[in-house]
Amino acid sequence: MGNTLQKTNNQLVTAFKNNDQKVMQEVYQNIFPKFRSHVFINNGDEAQAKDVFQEAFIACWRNVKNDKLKENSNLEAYLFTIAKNKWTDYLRSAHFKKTVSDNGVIAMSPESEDPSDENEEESKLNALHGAMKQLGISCKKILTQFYFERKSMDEIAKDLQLGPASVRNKKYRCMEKLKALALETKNNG
Amino acid sequence: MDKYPNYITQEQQEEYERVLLDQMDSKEKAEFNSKLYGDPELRKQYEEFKELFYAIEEEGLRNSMETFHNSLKEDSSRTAGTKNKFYWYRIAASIAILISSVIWFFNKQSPNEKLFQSYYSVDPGLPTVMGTNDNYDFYEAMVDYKQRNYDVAINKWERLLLTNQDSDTLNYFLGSAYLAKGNTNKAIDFFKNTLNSEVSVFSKEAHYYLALVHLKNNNTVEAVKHLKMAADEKSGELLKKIQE
Repeated sequence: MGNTLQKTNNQLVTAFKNNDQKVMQEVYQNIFPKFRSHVFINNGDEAQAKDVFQEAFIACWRNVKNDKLKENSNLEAYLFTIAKNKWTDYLRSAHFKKTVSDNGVIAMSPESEDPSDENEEESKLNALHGAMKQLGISCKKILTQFYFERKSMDEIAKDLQLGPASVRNKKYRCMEKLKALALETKNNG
Repeated sequence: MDKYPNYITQEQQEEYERVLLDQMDSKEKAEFNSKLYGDPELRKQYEEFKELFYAIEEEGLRNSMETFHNSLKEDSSRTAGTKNKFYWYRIAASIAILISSVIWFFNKQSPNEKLFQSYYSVDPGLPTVMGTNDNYDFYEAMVDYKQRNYDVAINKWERLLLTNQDSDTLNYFLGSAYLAKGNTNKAIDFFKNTLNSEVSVFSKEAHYYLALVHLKNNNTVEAVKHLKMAADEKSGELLKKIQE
């Protein structure tokens, strides 16, 4: 515990940008217990805490990558805030909206996005996730290693016991396939 | 025949990958951006590729988070939960103390400090146009400056300054960036350097900001001197307030 406190905030930001799993794990393990306590005090259980926290983690990670985290603001505090806001949203959507009239609930965070835009985004994302699921295991492995784990082509070639040229080709074909699957899913869905 | 005829070429894919994996140097990136800027079709292709790229990354993170979460259970059984609770209470308490000391600080600030606060705003910077010009590095830093990433901007500009010691533009914006960070000593040095060049378009602004820095440092004599040299409307106004 507390290892991440020894890292400077810049190091955390760089690690998030490069998908450094070791550092991300430390941050996750530092902040989740605190968030869980917050959820326990506010009418939630372990499973809900996990789901909401993971969504918050993704949002935080994406924002850090897109340079939305202001310089000198603390990444861990930022993650905790996003998670807390998401928990508030969750409470509002799941419990309060059904039982309390809208007038009785004060909005805690602005939710003014255009719903049609949101649906569009969501269906696009769903199509992509659906496509990922249909992709063969070897394709998934190559793409995850290259895009998420940031392994070099040489490392991947070694791992899959293939020549560099065929890994390069395979990566291209896999992306092509993913794109086609996403289109299909979107058109059928 | 290609199985999926509408997909981008392998070379294009690899170029997009290099952008998204941050493997391009600044020059290459600038060239890519201007290419993208002038070609809506290309921009669309790139955006579509980016979505695929992001989806794979996100899937990877989701899988990893399961591992993070599972190893957490083993960890948390070994640590006491109450410790965390008090940790957050302590943080909350320190934040409360911090806020009250900030309020106290602003209430007790000197008249000069108050004038500084009401007259100072960060120089908005120069318009940045993405393109392939010689000044790319300078404008790249300008983007950082505008995003208030002052340390990054300072770093880049100071590197450029090594070969352009006399540039009034560089000196002026370095002064602005240091002042925005609250480093008055450095700000004074750089604004003074700006005034070294005989005819600078920034000379009025440099005098004005120098006056503000001195005001912040409670050095009214120097502040008045520079306001007189700036000799424009807002300087005159501030000068009157000081002498009231």
